[in-house]
Amino acid sequence: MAVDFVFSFQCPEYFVLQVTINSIIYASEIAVIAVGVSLCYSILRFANFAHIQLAIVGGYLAYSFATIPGLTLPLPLAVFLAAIATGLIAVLIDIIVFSRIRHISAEGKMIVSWGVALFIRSMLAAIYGGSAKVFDVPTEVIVCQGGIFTTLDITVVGVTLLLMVLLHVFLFRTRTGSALRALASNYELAVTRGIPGDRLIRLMWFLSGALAAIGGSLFAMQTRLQPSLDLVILLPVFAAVTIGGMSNVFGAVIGAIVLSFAQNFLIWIDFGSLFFGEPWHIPTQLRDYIAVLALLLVLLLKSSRAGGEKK
Amino acid sequence: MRSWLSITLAGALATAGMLSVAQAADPIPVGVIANLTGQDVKTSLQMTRGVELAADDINAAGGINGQPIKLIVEDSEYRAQEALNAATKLYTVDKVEAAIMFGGSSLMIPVAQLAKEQGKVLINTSSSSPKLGEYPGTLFSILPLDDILAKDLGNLVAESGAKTAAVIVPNNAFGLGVAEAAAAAFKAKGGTIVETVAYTEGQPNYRADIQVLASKKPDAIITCGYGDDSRTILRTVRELGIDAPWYAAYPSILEVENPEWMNGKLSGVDNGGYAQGVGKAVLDKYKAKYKEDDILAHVYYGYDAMMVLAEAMKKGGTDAASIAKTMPEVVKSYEGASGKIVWDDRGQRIDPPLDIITYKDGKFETTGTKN
Amino acid sequence: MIDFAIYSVTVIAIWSVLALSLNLQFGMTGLVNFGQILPFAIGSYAAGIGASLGYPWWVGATAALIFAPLFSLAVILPAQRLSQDYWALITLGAAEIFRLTMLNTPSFAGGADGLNVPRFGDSLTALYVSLGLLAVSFFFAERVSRSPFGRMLRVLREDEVLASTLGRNPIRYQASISAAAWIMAAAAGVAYGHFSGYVAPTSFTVTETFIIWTAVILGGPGRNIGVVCGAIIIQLLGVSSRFVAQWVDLPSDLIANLRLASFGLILVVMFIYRPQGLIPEAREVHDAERD
Repeated sequence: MAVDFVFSFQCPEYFVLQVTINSIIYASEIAVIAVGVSLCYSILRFANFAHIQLAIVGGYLAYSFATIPGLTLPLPLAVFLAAIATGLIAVLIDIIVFSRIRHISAEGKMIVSWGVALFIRSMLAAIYGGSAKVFDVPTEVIVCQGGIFTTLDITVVGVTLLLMVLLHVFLFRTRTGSALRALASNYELAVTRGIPGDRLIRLMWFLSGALAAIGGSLFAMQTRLQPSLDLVILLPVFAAVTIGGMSNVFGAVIGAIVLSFAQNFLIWIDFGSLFFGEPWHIPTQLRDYIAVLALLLVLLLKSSRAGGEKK
Repeated sequence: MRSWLSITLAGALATAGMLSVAQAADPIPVGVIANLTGQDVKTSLQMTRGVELAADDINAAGGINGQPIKLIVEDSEYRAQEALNAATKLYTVDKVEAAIMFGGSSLMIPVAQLAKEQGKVLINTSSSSPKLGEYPGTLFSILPLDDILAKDLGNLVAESGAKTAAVIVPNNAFGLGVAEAAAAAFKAKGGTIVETVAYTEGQPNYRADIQVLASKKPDAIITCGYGDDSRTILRTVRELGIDAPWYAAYPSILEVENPEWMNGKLSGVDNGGYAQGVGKAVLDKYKAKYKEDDILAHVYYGYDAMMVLAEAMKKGGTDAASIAKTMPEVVKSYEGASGKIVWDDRGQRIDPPLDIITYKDGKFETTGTKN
Repeated sequence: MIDFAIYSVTVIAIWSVLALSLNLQFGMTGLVNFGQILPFAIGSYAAGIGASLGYPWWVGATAALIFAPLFSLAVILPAQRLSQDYWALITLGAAEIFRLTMLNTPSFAGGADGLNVPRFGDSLTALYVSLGLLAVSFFFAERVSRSPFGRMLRVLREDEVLASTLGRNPIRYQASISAAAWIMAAAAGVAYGHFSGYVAPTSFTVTETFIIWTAVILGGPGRNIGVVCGAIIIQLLGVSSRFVAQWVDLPSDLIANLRLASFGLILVVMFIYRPQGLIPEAREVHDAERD
């Protein structure tokens, strides 16, 4: 059966399916990382630059576990171990750094998190060197009703979905999860009601570190590893988190999807044929603009809404 | 307080370091500026190693009339400010008369201006911006200008019988330079460019960019770029089922991701002459010293840059003015790892030996030459 | 050696002006600008574009001094009701938009290729111009700091509500100080353009912004002499690590990475152990109400 997308312009419709698939894959790649940023924001109220660097750390750890001679673990196990190790690193960073500055302003924490990210990035570069490392993952190409994707793409999307379901179950179906949500909605109140704030914050760090590591490993398998990769995905991830409302964990997933669809479709749609009869589309190099503009737009909308509430 | 202490300490160390340089008057210092951190690290590192191999060879053969070469390698972080810091240190503190540099035009041009002001020499191994021709007597290029090579590339695509072509290049001076010159040559022979994609380097995912290209169904794809990104791009193109043949400027820099799929599908114009003679010898030495056989053309550029510089120092003297005067002379009789070097009167490499190479059974085969 | 000293002092002077500019915004007023490189880039590009269109240097410089405050208003006015961490993201995004625009307009701003800028006649001119700029900026920042206006800024930083109850409109203060600070940074950008002789998008990334932040946090937010010291230390660290690398004979990429790691460490350690910086601000906020 043919796919039922009917668009009014001349491009064959299976491209629409393909661009949709592309959007879903990219959304999955950034969603896992974006969720961790939101998780941290929801409880500690600051945008954590270091989180994205933790994803890269996780990728490198998984790479090491999978390739160090004598160890060469199978990939899923390597990623699992990397997730645990990165979760512990995140907790360690909290003990050494963030637990000591709980009282300072959000922007102060952001600056510190930049310092942490810079430190980790430089250390990664010192240890692994600046050149790219590549996971060699064998992939099969699957063609399905005109849409093309690979087995690795399925893994990426599947793992992302699974993680989101698990996270949802944890947050909404377990006592610990409810306690975390209570902390997120009103920290002071939750603590006075007997919820162990500090221990749960550590748990939150572990979770977001582990999520980052899995996200980073998937990312690395799709492309490569490089210490400065975090700078490249910083803006898309922050854009996704902002679109999703910063502190809403699943909002970040929605944000990733919205951003990815916007990026993929806006540069693909032939606006020229639609409006002027001459084929023309937004030049591909403007793809980066879409992420940054989305970020600015959402923040400015927030600004006008905040103003409305004040009056 | 600790920071103050470290500054004082660093200052003291720096002074001591300079004293030791001054005492060991014998070696001739030669500067190397490369981005050992930041982006394009791999290419840059290999260029630096090429220079080191040449310095080893020169020193083993008795140095510059008895004086050994001493390399001073400085990192530019791929930032203009740090490149200037590095160059200023090399030229004014280490008193090098000539420096060999890797870096894009955004780093190379400020350093070239500085070198000109200081009356020193700069040898370019990586940037191909036409603006580099504005520093005759200061800046000499071992890397050929892109428009020459890209013009041949455009002709090659036209000769292959392709009527339409898409261009996918990195959004930097190198990529856009190749895109423009190749497209012009292709159009001059009656071809049509259906799409030009200039991608941002270092992106994790290029599906959006490549989908645009796919929807135009080109007969051929014209490209250039560095290994890391090309690997991702080639893979995405393969996965999206685009089957058009590839024509690349410097295909040997690209990283072929799936040899089976790429078999016979990638060809292009590359600097000729690595495979035999000096190039082969350098390749063997590189493998022996660095235990790595995945090597890029920049090893040869680095090697040739150092060799040409040393030849000029031997013949005409080691000060910058003599080097600048002698180098264009010695180059004429120099047979390098990257082939014969021909400079125009601005010190820019023209008419390089070009090979047309095709990727077959896991390696590049020379299928044509132009000398 | 003397050439190198002249060069280093010039670089330090330019980055000190940037640090002073950020200090007016963050240190005194509490505005968290994560796009501090933007006014600097505006200055450099104004110099570059002016030169590429064939105008004398003062046309570019004037354009820089006009456009920088306009941009600052464009960024700060719509964002006035947001908390500072949101404003931080907005400024970060704004700087990135500017960089991408320059990157993707080859015919106007040179694109990835960048633009040539006529260099200062000789290195001493560059030195005097930069030092002069630093002196003017420092004098101005000190004047602001000691004036009733400056004390009001500090009240604003500590407590916006208190400032409003004193009958002051916070946004007017914030807008005027950021316009002034951006003019300062743009002037540094013009000087930098003529000093380095070249502008290109790669010189104006997020990384550069945080180098300025490191200087301010290290030196002492709110204290002008402190942030200048911070800028001096950070730039000296950059310069001296090259000599250290040569002395201890470690690979220069390792030293470069360790230097960057030390910047990160400085940010973290200062915030934990000495948030007031090496040379802390003298506290005089309580005086504000008496003016």
